[in-house]
Amino acid sequence: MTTQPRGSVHISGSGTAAGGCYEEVTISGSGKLAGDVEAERLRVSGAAKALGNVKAGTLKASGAFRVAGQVEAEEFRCSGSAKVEGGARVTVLHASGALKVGGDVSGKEVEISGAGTFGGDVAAEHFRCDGRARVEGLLNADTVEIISEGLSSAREIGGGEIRLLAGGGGGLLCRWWRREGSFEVETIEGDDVYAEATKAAMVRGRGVTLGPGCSIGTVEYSESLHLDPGAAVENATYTGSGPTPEVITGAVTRPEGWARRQGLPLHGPMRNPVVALLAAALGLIIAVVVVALVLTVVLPAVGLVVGLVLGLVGLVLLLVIVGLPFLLLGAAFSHRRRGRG
Amino acid sequence: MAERDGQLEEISKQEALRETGISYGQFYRWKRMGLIPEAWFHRRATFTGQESFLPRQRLLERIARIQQLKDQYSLEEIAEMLSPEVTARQYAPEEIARAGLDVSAVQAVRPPGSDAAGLQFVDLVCGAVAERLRQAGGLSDREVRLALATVRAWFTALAQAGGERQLVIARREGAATAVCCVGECRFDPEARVVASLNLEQIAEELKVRLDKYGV
Repeated sequence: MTTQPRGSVHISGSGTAAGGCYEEVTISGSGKLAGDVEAERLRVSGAAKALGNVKAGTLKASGAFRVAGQVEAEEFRCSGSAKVEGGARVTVLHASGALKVGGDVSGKEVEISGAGTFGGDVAAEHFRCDGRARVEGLLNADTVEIISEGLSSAREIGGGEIRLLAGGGGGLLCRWWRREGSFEVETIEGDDVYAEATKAAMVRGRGVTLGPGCSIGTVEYSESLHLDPGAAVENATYTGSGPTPEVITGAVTRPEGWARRQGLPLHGPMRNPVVALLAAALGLIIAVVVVALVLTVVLPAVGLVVGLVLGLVGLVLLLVIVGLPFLLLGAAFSHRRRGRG
Repeated sequence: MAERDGQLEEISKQEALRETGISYGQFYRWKRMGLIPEAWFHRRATFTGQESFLPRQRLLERIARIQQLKDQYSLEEIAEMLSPEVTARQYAPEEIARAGLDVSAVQAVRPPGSDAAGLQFVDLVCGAVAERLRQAGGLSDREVRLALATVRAWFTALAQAGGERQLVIARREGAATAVCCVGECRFDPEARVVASLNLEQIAEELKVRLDKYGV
């Protein structure tokens, strides 16, 4: 590694920088990095495209950022849209907006709010996603926390503490047009697993809690299994030693201390069919009432107002058209009379 | 591949956890850090869906070793000891001599112009490969050099590919070609395989040796 002082590049407006080692690279506007770039700090606002690999201490991108190669960074923060065609090795990755990584991601802390799409495996100490996460391969983390809006998926999820939560909670009305989040995973393995609205072939864990909306092929647990009435499980096997503990059934709440720390309600959006039906019915009634109101009150009222205004305008016009000749005549006569006198 | 009977027996992940008493969290953490190499995982279809299987003996030995070391060392340090190819650790010549390896032989197989001080794990692998190829005979010096260049170029790159890395040298119409591949390698009927080395096994032996001598 060279120790000579490095230069910096600043692009504002539009420009291209050659690859190389820099102290700092900033792009505001539209820029292109041709070739591999290494920088202490790389900042992008606007649109930027790196044609090679990017290695940086801190990499901050807002706007549209695209890397054709790999990303290696201590800290990678992006907002807006970011696309990395290769893999990413980071210590901290924070993304808000849409992030797409073609290859594997490894890091200590990966946090996404928005949509994260990963073409390979994701390995981190902590993985958190508020929004939608799609992992083609294995999502491996000590703690996995996903609050899903829409459908999140992974081939496998493995780790210590796994929390899969359905987002999209809110009032009854909210639920009518916004579908709750859900998950599709082949295999989930963790010490402590909590899942809502999850479709999986296999769930293995020490303590497993399955909330409403789960549809699981096989559950293997070695300590405890807690099932919500709204969870469907085909087979449940106890794999621990000793007598089989009883499966706890009954309404499931989210892990309490954790949910409180996260500022989340203890219950997810309820998947109870009765509640869902009620919500839908309420939504329908409100829609019908709104339409009826529009048809019976608003439209006639608008019609009345428009009619009145048009009538008034017509009256004024009529007065003007009819009255104007008389007015003119009158004016002419009064002139003549004054002229004589 | 019958020569390694005992090692070929496979174990599923959950069986391994049950036998050793480690948790999923630990298993996945060790996998993440390269302590349980990607190359050991074989995904196979079973009646419950896709399952990962690993070589039984190697995995159980590895887990025991990690458990034994983990009170004394951090996981990063253990990773350096057990999976040096992943961490790009450098070895001083004295360390290599301490493990009973021939330093000059290792240095001799390095490409010209590489810096003298630190030797990387891949250098040690190349040294072992060179020794075996020379012992096997039938290859010219130039062909051995070619094979070593191939190992050097691909050994680390294929580390995470999943499957066992092999070096295969084939001869066809007098000319030899070296192939570094994952899993098995198939040639046209006229080509004749002159040498075939399991790089995974070589690397493993080296690691055990380094580990034994406390390097």
